[in-house]
Amino acid sequence: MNGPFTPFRQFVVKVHSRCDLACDHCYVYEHADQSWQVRPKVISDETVAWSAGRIAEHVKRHGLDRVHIVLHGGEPLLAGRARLARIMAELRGRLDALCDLDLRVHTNGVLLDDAFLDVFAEHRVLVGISLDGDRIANDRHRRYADGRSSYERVIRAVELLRRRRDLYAGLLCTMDVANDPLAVYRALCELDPPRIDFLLPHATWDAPPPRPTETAYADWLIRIFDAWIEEGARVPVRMFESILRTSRGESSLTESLGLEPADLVVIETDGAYEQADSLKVAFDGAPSTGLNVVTDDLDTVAAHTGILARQEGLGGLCDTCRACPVVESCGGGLYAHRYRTGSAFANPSVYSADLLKLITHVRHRIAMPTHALPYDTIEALAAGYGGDDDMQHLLAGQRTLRRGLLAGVHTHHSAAEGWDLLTRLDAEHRPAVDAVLDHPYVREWAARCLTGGGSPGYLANIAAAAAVKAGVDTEITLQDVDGVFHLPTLGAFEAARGTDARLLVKDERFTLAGTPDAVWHPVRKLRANGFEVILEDTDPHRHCHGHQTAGRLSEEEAGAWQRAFADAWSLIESDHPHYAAGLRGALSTVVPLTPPPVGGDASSAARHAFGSVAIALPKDAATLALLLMHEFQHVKLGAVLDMVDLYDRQHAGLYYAPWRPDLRPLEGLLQGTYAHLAVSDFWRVRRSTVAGQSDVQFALWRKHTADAIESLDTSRALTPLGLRFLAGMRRSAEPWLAEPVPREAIDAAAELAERHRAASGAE
Amino acid sequence: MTQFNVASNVTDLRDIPLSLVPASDVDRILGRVLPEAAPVESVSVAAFNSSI
Ligand code: SF4
Repeated sequence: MNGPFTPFRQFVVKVHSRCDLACDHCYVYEHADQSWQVRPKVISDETVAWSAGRIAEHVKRHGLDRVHIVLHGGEPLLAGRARLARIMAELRGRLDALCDLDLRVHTNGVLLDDAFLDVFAEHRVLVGISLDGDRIANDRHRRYADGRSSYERVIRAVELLRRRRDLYAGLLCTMDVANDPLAVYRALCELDPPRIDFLLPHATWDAPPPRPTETAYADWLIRIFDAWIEEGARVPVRMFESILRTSRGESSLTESLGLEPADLVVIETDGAYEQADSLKVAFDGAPSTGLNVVTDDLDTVAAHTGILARQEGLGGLCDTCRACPVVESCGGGLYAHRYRTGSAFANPSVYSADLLKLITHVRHRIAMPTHALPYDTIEALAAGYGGDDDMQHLLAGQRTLRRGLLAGVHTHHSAAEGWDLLTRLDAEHRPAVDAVLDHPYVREWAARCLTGGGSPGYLANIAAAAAVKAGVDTEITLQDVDGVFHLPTLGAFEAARGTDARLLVKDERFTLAGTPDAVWHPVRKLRANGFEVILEDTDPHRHCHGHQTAGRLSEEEAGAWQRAFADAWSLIESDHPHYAAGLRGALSTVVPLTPPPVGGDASSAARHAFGSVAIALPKDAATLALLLMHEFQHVKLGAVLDMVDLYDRQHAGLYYAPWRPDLRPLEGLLQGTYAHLAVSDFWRVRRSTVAGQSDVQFALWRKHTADAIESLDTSRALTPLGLRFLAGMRRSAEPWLAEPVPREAIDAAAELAERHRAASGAE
Repeated sequence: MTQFNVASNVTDLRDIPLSLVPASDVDRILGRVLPEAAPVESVSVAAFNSSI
């Protein structure tokens, strides 16, 4: 038999049908279905063998690459170590060769000890523990039959798991609105779980939950959600993550929310297949299928009407749910919670008012706007300039890009330790994290990692730098990149052979644990008239400029940079205030390049390194000013292109560029034209101080820039916004063509232009 | 009516905790600034979560 049904991917295997606690909210014993009374206490080896065989058969038939099996009860640990070991071995033996088997056990924890954990480790089984929060919350329901508290024993079990973190799946907390939500949440967080599940108590319209107010459950969860978001969502909470995911069209992570077809089946201790366990709350016999592992395969179970009913997505919901604005996230809630005598499951959830309020709150809280560039900013930039406000828009976009790229890198295994520290700091010390992530070469590093190069482990260095800035004591292993342990925005330790990579951060001071005398090169700053930028000669990711970067500068070389920078900045501020404002707003870093061996100047900007320019220290401050202005044009335009499209990215045409020996793609021509807008302007103003050569340069570059603007215009590859940008450039450049320039300078410029065109071989 | 802003398709992630940056946004950013990068895989997780 084949489809039309969704194959099962989740199996709950009941290995023991009794429990050593007597929780009064338990759906197995305290609700309508009482079938546990007639089932064997413990699953037999024969039933396990049949179950494993049926699952294996199902996996093969449907080509499933991954299945999840949860060993459950009652209390599964009552089955004992030896039997559990046999069950796990049987499941792994039958399934490991066929698919990826995610095997877990859900326990109340009271019997858990290291001997059990050894067995789970041997069979690679993750352990989830039920705990309802702090002691008061937990003891409200989770007690032994004689009324004793289970709290101490459960906490002891969790502590054991914390020491064997690779076995720790998470904590499952059944809500009670009588408990203090934040006390519950904090108590759970303190146990450092890899994940928290909050579960609504099982209830139906026939047996509604205790409800002091109409939306008591939503209000309880909203208190936790707000704290969770404010604290940076440090611990994954499946319910909240599912609402966020489904709100943007992704799949849910839990059966209790969303529209995904149910793909779960329960196997009882006697081998009976049952539908979702939660149906036990509806009526006696509700979960029953009448089918059994010995006589029936899983396709037969999948075709059972009760199972099919839970696979119909939107079509399977009542009219109220179908018309509901949050139905993609809610999905009508858990199937069992919809039950009412008479209409059966054709109802909204008994928690409908709570779900609607919670999901709406989450959506509003996380409504995610997109970046936008005001037209005024586009116009100011198109003219060639852009002030501080305009730079703030570009900086905002860049911050988003870095955060997004970082989130892409963190999935690399070697980034785990850094990610852990960084997300913690991000929750509590955001300004320190932002200050480090704003360093231009963080994005360059992330881009390398995401394209197959780079060292994802360097995330630890980024996190360490943020910890230092935040004044948070920590200890973390740094990544050596190109022979240095670099801390972005701070400097670098030389990583001589045998240097201990463990960094200790204490009281805002930091040392390498095993090499306290490691050579440290702090970043230096260039300062001028209240403006300061990093003179970056330690970051191993700065070698991305297509030119040879200088090594660590001597004090003398750094001094020469400082003097030239002060003079250049003074010139920019006095002669080119329109450019100074943007530079002051967003230039953060200057990378020294090695002077070209053949003489002349070298400078560059790199697309991923927003805020940085690389320059070989030129012979005079005026040239440094020119190079800073030129390269910063690339920085600004690159940031605009990161956000919006000015041209058709599919366009493959190549164009003559008067400043290059080779033909350039459209973006290259646009970048060059925009940079030479500033170059023309520089020489235009410079003529009043130094005539002669400045006249020639102005005549040359205004003509080249104007010609290139026309080439761009005729490319037919600019978007409407690109045309608008180009019009802004033209508005700046056009009047310059009418400015008087001595005849000899025009002739000299024409000759230079002709020589370049001839050398490039262009028509 | 005058339009004052040019909208990008880049979600503003500045106030989203790093740990909650959606995979779909990472993919969109990669598509914009690093089209050569492979899309980041998202991990699937077991959905069953009944308490004992
Ligand atoms: S909120 Fe209520 S009406 Fe809306 S989908 Fe959920 S249960 Fe149905």
